[in-house]
Amino acid sequence: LFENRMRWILAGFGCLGLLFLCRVFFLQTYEAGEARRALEGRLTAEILLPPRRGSIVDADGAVLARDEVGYDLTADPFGLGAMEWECEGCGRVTRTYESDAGAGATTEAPGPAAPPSPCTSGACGGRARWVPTYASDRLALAGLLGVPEEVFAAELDRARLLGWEEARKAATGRDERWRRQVLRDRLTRVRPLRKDVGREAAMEVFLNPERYPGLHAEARAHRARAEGLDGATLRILGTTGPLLKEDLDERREDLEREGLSGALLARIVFGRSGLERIFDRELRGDFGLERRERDIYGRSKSREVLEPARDGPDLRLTLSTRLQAAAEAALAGRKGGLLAMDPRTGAILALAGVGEDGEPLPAVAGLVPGSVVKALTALVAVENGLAPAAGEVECRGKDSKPISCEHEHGAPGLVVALGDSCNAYFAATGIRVGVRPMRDFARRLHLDEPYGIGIPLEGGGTEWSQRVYRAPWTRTDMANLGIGQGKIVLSALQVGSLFCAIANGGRPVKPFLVEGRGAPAEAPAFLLETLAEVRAGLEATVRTGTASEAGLGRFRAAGKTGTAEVKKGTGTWNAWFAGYAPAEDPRVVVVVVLLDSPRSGGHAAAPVVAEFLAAFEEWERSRR
Amino acid sequence: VTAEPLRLHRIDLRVAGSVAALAILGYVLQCSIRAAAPEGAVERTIDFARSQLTWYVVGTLVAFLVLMVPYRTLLDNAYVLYFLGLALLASVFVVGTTVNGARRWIDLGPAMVQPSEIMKIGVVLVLARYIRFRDDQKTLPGLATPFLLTAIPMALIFRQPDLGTALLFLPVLFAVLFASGARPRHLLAVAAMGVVFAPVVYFVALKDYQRERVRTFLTFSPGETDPEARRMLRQEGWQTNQSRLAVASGGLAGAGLGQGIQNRSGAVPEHQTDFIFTVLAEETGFAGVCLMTGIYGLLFVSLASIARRCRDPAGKLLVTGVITILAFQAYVNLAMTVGLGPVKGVPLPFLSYGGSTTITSFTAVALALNVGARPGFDFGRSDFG
Repeated sequence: LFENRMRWILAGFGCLGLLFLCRVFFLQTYEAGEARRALEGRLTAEILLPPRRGSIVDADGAVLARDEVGYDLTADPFGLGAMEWECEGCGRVTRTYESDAGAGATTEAPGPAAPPSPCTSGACGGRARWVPTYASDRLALAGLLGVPEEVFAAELDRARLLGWEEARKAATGRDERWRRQVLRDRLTRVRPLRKDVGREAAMEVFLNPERYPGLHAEARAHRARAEGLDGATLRILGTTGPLLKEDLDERREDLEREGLSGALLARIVFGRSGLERIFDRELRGDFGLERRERDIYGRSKSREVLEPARDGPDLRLTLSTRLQAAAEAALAGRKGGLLAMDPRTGAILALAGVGEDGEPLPAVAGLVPGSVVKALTALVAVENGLAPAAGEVECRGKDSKPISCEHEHGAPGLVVALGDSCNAYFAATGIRVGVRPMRDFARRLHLDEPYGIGIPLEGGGTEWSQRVYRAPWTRTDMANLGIGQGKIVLSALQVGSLFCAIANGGRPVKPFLVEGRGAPAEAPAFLLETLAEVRAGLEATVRTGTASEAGLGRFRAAGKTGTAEVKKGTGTWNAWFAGYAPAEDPRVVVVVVLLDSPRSGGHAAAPVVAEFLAAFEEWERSRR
Repeated sequence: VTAEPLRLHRIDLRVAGSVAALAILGYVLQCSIRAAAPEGAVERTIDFARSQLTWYVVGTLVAFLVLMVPYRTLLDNAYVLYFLGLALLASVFVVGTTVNGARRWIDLGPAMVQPSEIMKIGVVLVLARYIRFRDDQKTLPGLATPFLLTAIPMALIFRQPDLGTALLFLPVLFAVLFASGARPRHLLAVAAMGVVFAPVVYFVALKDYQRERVRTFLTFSPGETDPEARRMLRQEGWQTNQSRLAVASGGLAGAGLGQGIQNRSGAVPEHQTDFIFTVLAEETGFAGVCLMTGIYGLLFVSLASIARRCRDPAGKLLVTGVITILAFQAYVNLAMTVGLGPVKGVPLPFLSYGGSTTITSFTAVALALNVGARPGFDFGRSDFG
């Protein structure tokens, strides 16, 4: 029997042995390749090399935005709860930490760490007292941070208590072993305490970590802006930051094409608005790739750059911050905007003035343009041979039909009508010309749509086509169109483009903000004769007409005033002036619009242009 | 009986040879670990190879001592040895040293003694002694005393806690009872009862980390949907994964001694003790594994032939117990490293680094050789039929 049973026992173990051998055979044949690849994969790693985001500089070469090192202060609740004590008797130093005794039962954090039981070293016989050392005095940092001690103390306390509360919450309901692990894990997790703390405070923490238990300084790339930029420039530059969820959904396809996804996205600073957003892809540059080889013990053996990171190129703007400042000064805090463009290219030299929060910048908002449109009406009429000759239209002042006029102009010709901004003349011209030619010219001159230059909420130009296609135009509508009232909506940017075309010999331009990104030059849209007649009218405005008192004469400027009625009966208008200087060889187009102005375009907006032109001449001189 | 002389020519050379082969293999593996260890690693500061060599020498000396004493003398004093072992086990709770949260060792200065290892031999001896002239193990009530004799040390070891070693006693008990003629259906009934009570043991007696190990082994963890808990479960499974990677990467021929990536990077924790097999598998491949399995096979078959040749029922049972201890321990250890069983603190006999395990294994084999070298008298009842 024994022999038999022994055979069974041996057979049992034999089976187990066979099972084991089969398992090993399976592992060492079927899984061997994969396992070897996994192990060898540990020896090499491909690391992405982050590029530097390109800077943004203005026309004068001043840096407006660039990546710099910024410092944040972070804290871990466990370290914050630590106290260091020194024995008065023997000088022994020890640290105590907050315990988590009773954790789970309550969400209250424990009080500050208590002093240890009396010193037990022989030297002081256990009678000496413990006193907190300098290391327990984290508040010493408050001075470097520039905050009152009590404020900083409250911040530290809040960080500690919140940390404990969160850790408790995470640890509640787990069994003992995990609970401790979770607590430790959460309590030592570092979280933000103060952002942008300045180099000095950060260095103090970097260099003396033992003096500030629980506090850490972290360096990170930080998009720094030039000091003292005006609101409009800031809006134009836009903001940067991590990708927001809604952005992510919108840009997912582009990002996937770039090969960016997952954790990598969190490491990248993205442009979120303005130029930072429009030129984001370009500014970001391209990641490089480095292969690092480690030896089996994890020590670095070699590194080879497979592909260097390509830093984002700098973006040079056509905008000058000096002109921006001059424009802000000329606006003198009034609600409105100023736009300056180079008529030869369409480059925007200045775009100043900030509206209400959440509203578009006045210079890009779609507004009722008023009489500045008469320049367009005149162009279209002359080009088509429809402009009324002197004596054809009679202006009876207030009694004019269908639209009244401020003054009685008699029976003016085009030049006088433009210079004096005669409503009766241009209402009649509007009716004579009709909608379609106006719209077609507006299209040729790119006045029918926002340009999408990257400034949020850009508007203007869209209303025309709506009127054309959705409702029949009445005579009054057409008369209103001729004088820039009613349904027509243009932005200062579009008015600027119109005057650029008049100033540069009839070539339509599209405004742009970044050097070298202008649209290619286009063929003239008008005959030179047409332009000459209209320009004579615009010069008359400054010499003898509605803007004759603005002091524009010394700049040999030409232009058109506009006083658009937007709120009936309030006695306020949108006061416009759009013009160029010098009249014989224009180098700058300036458009000013003042919102809710109590005075007319000629009296309110034109003097602003004059002031700006003075600054512009100085700027031009300094560049030569 | 006590004057029975030792006949050296009757010492089974196949047994002694296999043990020597395993010991040489163990030493080579420890040398490979030391050669591959990075600067500053614990394997560099402590010379495991050299101290393991010392343990082999000490083990051989102890084995000779055991051989000198006739096994029947040991059997006669089995109860004394058993109670001494129990006292040692109990004393762990008073004077024991705690390592990794378990009190398993008694610190004797130069060496740490693990009483549970000694108790393995004690239980085999006491079972052989108790059953040798009996017949009542063939009845259900007759099983009670052997079970009790095994359960007491098991419970003590369980409390240390050392689940792995405690569970080793069960196969020894079953094998000895089975070999001594106990009815299979009785043993099956007892085993079935055990299965029924297993959940009770799982939820009441097991420590958290032991439950975790069982759950890790079962890979799914019912009711555990919390990501944090899952992350920690993965941490527990990490050791198993590393060990599996090491074994698999060995392939058929192995990476060569001292060349295994896992061995050199020290990625498998405890690779000089419980996970020594990963070094063998990674560096010598399937060929080395077959060699090792073959040596173990030869050892167990030779031990079994000693048992068959022996005419003394107690001797037969003694050798059966020895086979079961060694074979089961080897299987549990190997199964753990290749992902066939949960991670338990069970060393691989003759190969793993460690004093207690080496001496116990050598003593166990010495007991079997003792039985083989002393043919003894014919008691007229060499079989349990």
